[in-house]
Amino acid sequence: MHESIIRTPLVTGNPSLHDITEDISRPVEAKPTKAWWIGFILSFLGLCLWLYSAGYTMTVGIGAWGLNKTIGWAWDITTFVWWVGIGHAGTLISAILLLFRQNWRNSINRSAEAMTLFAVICAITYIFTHMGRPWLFYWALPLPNQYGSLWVNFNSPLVWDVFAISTYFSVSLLFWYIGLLPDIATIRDRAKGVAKKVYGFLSFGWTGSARSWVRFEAVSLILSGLATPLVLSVHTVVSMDFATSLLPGWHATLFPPYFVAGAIFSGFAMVQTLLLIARKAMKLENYITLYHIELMNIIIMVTGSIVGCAYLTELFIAWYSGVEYEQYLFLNRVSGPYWWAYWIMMTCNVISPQLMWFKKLRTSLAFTFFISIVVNIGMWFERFVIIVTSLHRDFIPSSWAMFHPTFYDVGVFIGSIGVFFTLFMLFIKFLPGVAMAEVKLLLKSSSVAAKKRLAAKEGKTYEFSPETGGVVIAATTTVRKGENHE
Amino acid sequence: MEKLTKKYWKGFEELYNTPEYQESKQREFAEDLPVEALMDEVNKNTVTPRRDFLKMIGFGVGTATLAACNRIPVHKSVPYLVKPEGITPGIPNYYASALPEGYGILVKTHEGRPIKIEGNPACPVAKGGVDAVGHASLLTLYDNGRLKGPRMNEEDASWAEIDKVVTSQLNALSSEGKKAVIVSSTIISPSTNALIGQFIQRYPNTEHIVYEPVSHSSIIKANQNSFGKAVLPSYRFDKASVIVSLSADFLGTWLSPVEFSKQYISGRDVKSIREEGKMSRHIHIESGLTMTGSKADVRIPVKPSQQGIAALALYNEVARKAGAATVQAGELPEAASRKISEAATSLWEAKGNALMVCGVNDVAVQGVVNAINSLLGSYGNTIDLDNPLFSHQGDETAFAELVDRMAGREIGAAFFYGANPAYDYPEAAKFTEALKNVRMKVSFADRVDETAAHCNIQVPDHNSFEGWNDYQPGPGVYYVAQPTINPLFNTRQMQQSLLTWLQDSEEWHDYIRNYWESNILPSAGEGGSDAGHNWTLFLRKGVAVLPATAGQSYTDMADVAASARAITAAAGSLQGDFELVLYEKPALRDGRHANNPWLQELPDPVSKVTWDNYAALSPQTALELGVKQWDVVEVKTEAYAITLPVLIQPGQALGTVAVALGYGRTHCGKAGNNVGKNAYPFVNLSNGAFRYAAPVSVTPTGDIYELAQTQMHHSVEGRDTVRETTFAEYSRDNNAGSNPNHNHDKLKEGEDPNNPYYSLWDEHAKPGHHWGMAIDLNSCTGCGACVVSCSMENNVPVVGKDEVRRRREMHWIRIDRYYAVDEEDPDNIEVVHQPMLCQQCDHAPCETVCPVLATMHSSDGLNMQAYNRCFGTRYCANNCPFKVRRFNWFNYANNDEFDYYMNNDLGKLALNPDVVVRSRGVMEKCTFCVQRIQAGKLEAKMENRPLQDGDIETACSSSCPANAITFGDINDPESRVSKLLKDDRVYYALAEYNVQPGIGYMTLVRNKVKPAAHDGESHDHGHEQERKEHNQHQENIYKDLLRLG
Amino acid sequence: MNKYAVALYDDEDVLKSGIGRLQSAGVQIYNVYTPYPVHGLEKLVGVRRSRLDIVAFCFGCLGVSCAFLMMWYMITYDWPMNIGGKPNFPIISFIPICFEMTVLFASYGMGLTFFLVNRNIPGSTPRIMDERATDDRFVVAVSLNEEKDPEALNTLLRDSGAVEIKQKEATY
Repeated sequence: MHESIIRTPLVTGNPSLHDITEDISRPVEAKPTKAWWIGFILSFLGLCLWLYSAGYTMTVGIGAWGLNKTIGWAWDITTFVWWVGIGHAGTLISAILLLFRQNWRNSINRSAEAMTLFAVICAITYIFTHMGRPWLFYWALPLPNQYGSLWVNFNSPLVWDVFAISTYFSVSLLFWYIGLLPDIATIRDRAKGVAKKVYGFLSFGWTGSARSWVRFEAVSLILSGLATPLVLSVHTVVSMDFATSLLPGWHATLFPPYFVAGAIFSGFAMVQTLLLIARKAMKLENYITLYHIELMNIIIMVTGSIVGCAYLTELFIAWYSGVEYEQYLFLNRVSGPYWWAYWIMMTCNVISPQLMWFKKLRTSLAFTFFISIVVNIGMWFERFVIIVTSLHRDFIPSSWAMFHPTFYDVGVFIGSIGVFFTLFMLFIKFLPGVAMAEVKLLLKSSSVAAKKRLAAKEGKTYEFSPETGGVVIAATTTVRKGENHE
Repeated sequence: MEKLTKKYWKGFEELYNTPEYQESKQREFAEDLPVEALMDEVNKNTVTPRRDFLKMIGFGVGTATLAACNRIPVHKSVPYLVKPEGITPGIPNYYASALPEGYGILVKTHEGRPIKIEGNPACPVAKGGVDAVGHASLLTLYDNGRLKGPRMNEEDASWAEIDKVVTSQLNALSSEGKKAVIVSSTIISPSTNALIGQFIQRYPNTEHIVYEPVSHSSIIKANQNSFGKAVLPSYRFDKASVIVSLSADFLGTWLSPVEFSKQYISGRDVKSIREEGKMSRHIHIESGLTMTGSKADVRIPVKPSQQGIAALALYNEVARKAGAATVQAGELPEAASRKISEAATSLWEAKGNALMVCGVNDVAVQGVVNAINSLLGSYGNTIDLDNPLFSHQGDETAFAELVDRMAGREIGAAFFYGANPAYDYPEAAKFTEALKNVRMKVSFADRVDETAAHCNIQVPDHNSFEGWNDYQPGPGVYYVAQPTINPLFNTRQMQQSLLTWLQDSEEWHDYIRNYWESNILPSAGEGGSDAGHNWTLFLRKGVAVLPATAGQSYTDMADVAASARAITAAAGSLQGDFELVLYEKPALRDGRHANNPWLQELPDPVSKVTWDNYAALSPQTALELGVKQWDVVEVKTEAYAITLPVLIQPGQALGTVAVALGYGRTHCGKAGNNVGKNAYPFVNLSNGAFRYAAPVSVTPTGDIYELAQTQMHHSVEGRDTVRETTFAEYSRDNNAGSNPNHNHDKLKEGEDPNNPYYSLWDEHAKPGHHWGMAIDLNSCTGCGACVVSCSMENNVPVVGKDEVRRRREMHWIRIDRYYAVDEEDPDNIEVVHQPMLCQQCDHAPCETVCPVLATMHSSDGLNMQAYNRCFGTRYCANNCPFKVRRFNWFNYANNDEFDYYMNNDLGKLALNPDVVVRSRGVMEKCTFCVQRIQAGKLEAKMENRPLQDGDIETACSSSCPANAITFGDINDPESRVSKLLKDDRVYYALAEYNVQPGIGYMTLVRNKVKPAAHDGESHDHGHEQERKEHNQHQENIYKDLLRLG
Repeated sequence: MNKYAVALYDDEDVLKSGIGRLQSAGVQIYNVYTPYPVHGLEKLVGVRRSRLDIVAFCFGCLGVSCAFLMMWYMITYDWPMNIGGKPNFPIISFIPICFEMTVLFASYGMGLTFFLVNRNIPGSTPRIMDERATDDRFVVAVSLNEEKDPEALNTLLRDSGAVEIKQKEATY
């Protein structure tokens, strides 16, 4: 495929196809590094904490948490929504960006999709832990009960959730795995002994014949076509848990777009966090370039601004509606006992992303990493604010209460993060963290080497530096188009 | 020998006794078992054929599965081999009985165990009402802390040996010339009194001393001085159009609260204010904010030292009007004196229908009040000296002497019956010290309480549900209490013990019966009482009423001036930097029920605090003292000191601190021991009567102790979920304050005037019954009888102090209490009580969101909850705008973390078999007592008649002493509820959300002295705005004090 | 037993031109294996466009109808009840689930079809012409079964720009 020379290259250095295979397969084939071990052990400790806290909660009852008669949901659903939100970026990157032919996605979509799956798994753990009687979870499925056909309530957004989340998980899994096939095949063909058998099994016998590649691309395209509305629908449905209720602060038609934007926002932040780590740990600087990070920062900035608008709209509507309960609620959010939560949310989600307007900041790895963490803190607090401050002071003042988390609230939350990173660590150890085939696809067109070749053809020279991007030096004049990336 | 029996042979082998037979006889099995074959080497290493293997596997798995299936718990059930008459398993029986408090009840029993108390409509005193204490007293029957049998000298003993000891001792005493004394609380049982009379005849050296920790002796003394009648008069609040109460909590604790509630409400309920167009005015002068004070139209906070002065001031005002001589009275704050003169005016206007009651236990003050009442001509109208109350005859001076005599070794034997001075006598230490000098100390208490612990003989009495008894609260009214269960333990009724010690072989039951048949029933018969002569007939009814003598009018002859001098003197002795007010709580009263978890967890009607007493301070006082809610302070006299957490109590008189009696028990049982602090030692004797006030110092200790409150936010934030108006406005426009821009003429046919909202969907059909409720905020006194009644009807668990602190109480019905500033007196506060339970919304938000259809709507308008379908997402509770859903955070039954009554076999006897005990992780809530609805329907069906209005009562509606709650079928236009719901005062909470609640509230009406500044439209925005600002202002000041957030 | 001549190229452009030469020389190409999708290749070797999209569409339709029928049967037909005063046939509430089921059916229907037509079955042993085909080599395989003159073919392949030529015997 032909690509304009002035487009910023997506593969730096001058790797050959084989080098790409080598670089990306190394983490899988080599012995795990010390860094990996440290990361893995830490995350695994987190997982153990989860096992303990969730185990205790399920044994004695939800009373182990700080909930009360007024506040029926707090950290549980807050974190559930948080994870679901994080789980959006992956599919978004792979699906929507594919539809828009954003080739830069090729080198990050794999780990992003993996992250999606693990985030959704963490979210699903909360569906169980937050139940009063978790062992009866299957009652949420449309099964006849033992006394005849008492089905489920299709009016309830929770049932929509069950369908939305499970669909989202299964489809993402399929998408991810189909994408994995060629790379697993690569590993298979390089591996020996047991590994060969295992990866051979996992590769479903992929050969890379012309015909299969055609089908492969067709499937990827259609799947992304399906996944795009799906990813938007999932958080829409989650937002309906609140939007369809009666509670001031929940009952808002604004929620679906607002939640989706927030989801993308937090999702990209999490991808940043992970990529920056993976990039360093797995020496993938050539494939996950500064340019990628910059692009994602821009998306974070945009979605952050959308979320900010949503916050302001909420306040405006509360005032404009003239409903006293609504008005009091938002007054209480901003200045009530939970003012700090509200302002943490505001600072992290609205103000900090705006700093990305500065190229200096959005191309600084350290700053990006910092912001990506800040954003996810902010998004957690957004959900906390929506859920707890709406519940703790609703219609009847006599029931107003405060929420005080217990050890087990915190334990399950920290633990779920442990679960997430444990899974991610295992992923980068055993599966290629970057989509080899898709990066190889880029090599011919949008690598620095390709650009050089292209320039040479026209009797020019092409130079590249991560900061300025590519520079084409004609025999006589110099054309600077480094920052230009449409 | 063996030849004698015939020998039968099994076969010829045996007959001929062949060698084979010989041999085979030795062996166990006829044929060889192929054991060796299996054992030998060849077989060892043969492979098992596939089929055999599969068979074995199949068998193994099959049996394993079957074994695993066998989880049927073993139920020991004893069938009625001979079915007792009248007992059908599953069908409750009701027995007319009575409570020691002196009013009639019905006891609901299931298979011979009482599980619920209902009011007895035939009871002339309570008129079908039962208060929280009455309801909860049932749980005392199933209290694990009760003594299981008689004890002597710290170890179990047999009745026989105890009887021997006691009788010999009694006989010995008379020879020694030492005294025996029976110390009891007031006994209103005529037969028991007769029996004690006999006992004293038999042992002439015996005395009977009546002791009560919370004393009303001053009323009796004052009446002696004023009218020469040493009696506790009966009061007629129903006849009074103006009621002035000087710190008499007559709706909560004073004398006969249930009776008074019924009377009081009859002057303020729908019938009175709508049909008769009149409403009694209630003016309340007190120091702490009591339940009764919270209902007052005009409330005047004064210090204890000012109470007497207030009485004098009132007297002078009235005297001027009556042209009588005035007396010297001290100074009062401006607001107070203004209100008092207004009160005097109202009283004088209502001359003849006025009533002043006084709860200050001071002869002088009572004397002044008597004077006022006689000026107002209340005697014979609203006060009846000729039909006195027999209760509360406690005489503290007599007991004080007794203690001295004990110390002086004059007493050889002491019997304690219903009296617990070791706990509640102000000088308990002195008493216990003196008690050491008594040789034989006998306690009839049902447990080893503080006094029993100092007794060498414990002869546990039956619980009142186990034995026969009779009660006579006043002349001409008699109740009999019949046993509704066999004695659970080896206890013996006190009266039976007395009979035994009289060497009288008569059974107590026969004694009572004879007494009645000879003394009461005949006159009842002549009196034309429908009970008639027949004892059994009478038992069915449970009450006999004799014709009462009409109350005469009396005039005071005591010297008011003298009283005035006494009062000023006493007032001086009370001045300290703080004045302590000691009061009873409507639930725990004097502390005798302290081990009753239902009462401990019942929120105080005003402060909403459970499981503790506290030092109540007014916000200003707290600010001056520099303490906040929950700061621990030391309350101290030179004699005694306790540390208590502070409760910020708006409406508390400035410079006073209120502490509840009845807490800090040490020997009442698991639930009640060391709950709160004992405040009795603060009580002091002043001119011959216990004084429940003292000068104290209050000093912060720096600690913090979190009180368990069920309500933390006290302002309604100007929301119209509670609505109120003044009587003046109401008489101008019945819709005042209730239904803004509300016009009946504009309504279309069949449109609900109070709910003019339209739905997006077509309504579901409402065939047959449609259950609904009307709650009159004007009647509700906030007493909490409904809460306890509901708890016992629906097996609502007790969760304990810590869980209440976590805001997890399980009560299905709660009573919300809101404060609003009194526009006329910033130191005072106006209070609203609003019973809040599941509103059974027709468009229930909770139903829509439940994923598993665990809650949905029944065709008769109930919002149903299927516990065993619920898996606990709590979404319904979050989406409930009334926050009436309750979640089982833990297993509350069979869980020793919650050691109240649901975790032991005895306590479980109190559970209602018609209602399931919920497991953990399940949502629950008010069901309008669906089990009662079903039972009612069934009964009607069996008798094959249509359901009548009133056939079905919910636990709350049936028990309300103030008739605030009416339940019934809205679809039946003739039912009381649908008639009530047509009232103009009716409004529906949050109706604007179109949840279509099934419960209509009726606006609170305050009969203020002068209508508030804004005339007419109390519902216009100006007023709302004003209240909003007031409350907002108050909120801002107290937010910090109350530790809100 | 099948014999193949396997030519390895190191660049997709060389591959394409090479294939052009071979075809003009009338060589029947058995199959081409590449490490990544080489665009334009499908035309050269004459692979028709995939019809998986149609499959997806059909499964999608199946999904939506299943979802709708299920919900209608369960809460409208089988056991209608009064849930918060909502109608017994709440079509609006059906929308989210109908959508989710559509996507689920479409993607899995298509995905599984994809695996089937590709013979991508877990554990199936693929016909690997050269192991570097998944790494950095572009592999052209020509069946030798009815090939008369292998030598000529080899030269032909070498001239077409192959960097390496092997013979492969597939035993399956």
